[in-house]
Amino acid sequence: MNEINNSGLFEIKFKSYLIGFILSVFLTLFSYILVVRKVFSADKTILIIVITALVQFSLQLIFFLHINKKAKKSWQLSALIFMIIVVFILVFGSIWIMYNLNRRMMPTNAQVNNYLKSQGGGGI
Amino acid sequence: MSKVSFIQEEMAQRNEKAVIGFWIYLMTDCVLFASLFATYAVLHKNTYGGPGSKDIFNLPYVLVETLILLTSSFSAGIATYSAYLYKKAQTVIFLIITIVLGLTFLIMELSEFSHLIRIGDSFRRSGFLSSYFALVGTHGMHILFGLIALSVLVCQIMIKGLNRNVLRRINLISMFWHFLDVVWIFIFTIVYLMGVIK
Repeated sequence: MNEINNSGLFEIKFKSYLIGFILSVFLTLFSYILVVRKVFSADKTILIIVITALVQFSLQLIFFLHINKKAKKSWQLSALIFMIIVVFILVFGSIWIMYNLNRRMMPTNAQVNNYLKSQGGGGI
Repeated sequence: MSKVSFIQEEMAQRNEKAVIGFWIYLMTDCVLFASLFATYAVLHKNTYGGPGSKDIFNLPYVLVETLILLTSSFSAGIATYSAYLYKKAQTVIFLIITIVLGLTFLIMELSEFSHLIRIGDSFRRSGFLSSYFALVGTHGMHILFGLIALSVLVCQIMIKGLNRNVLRRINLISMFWHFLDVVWIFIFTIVYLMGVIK
């Protein structure tokens, strides 16, 4: 029986689903209440809900998708880590580049006009 | 080793290969969602005079959607568990619960979309709304295909019973369903909750 239990297919347990489900519901409600009740300032709330989301992400990976350190599943873990790196580069790279570009953009005619008027001169 | 456990062992090995392939697919799907998230992050302030995220999101409604999807993910897990115990009726019941909850989620999402389009805030309105519809719509489309797959699976269980091919499919589809729930965590947090804070 031990061989079967280690083969990666039959280790699925009802308990792990239940724990994962209850914790996920709890974390979802937690971040929802934090946002709706405005317990903390905006910046703090964002930090806390992002951390909560990451915790829930790892909980669901462990309890629902059964990612663990077993040797046979190491390819699964390495694909996951590779994916996380790619996603990180894609999302944060885009945000980094685009926010910089926004700041370095040439002003539009309307913006130049408004600026000139605010300085007391006529428009273009 | 008895004959039954030998068959189970062989099944586990076949299953392993299918899981590898499917997992690689899920990881590449993550890249698709990541690029949509990046688009959203870049465009979410470009409202072009239209409504911002604060004006259009109805948080209690989204919370209900989230909990429905979470419950359906849980019941998909229970269905897989019952399948491995060879409880056919229980598997079918939990898969049908998953389908009903998934369908409820999809209908809620579509009614939210149609409401936005009716009041003139469709994806044509601004960069923000385009990226919002693209991101949440892609997730919804995955849900739709998942629902189709689940329905086909229920028919297969009814007709063929819980043979090893069907068992493998149950495992893969429940992985897909859990994956969609994982993606929704980030949509819920980044699009909805953070959209309302700012």
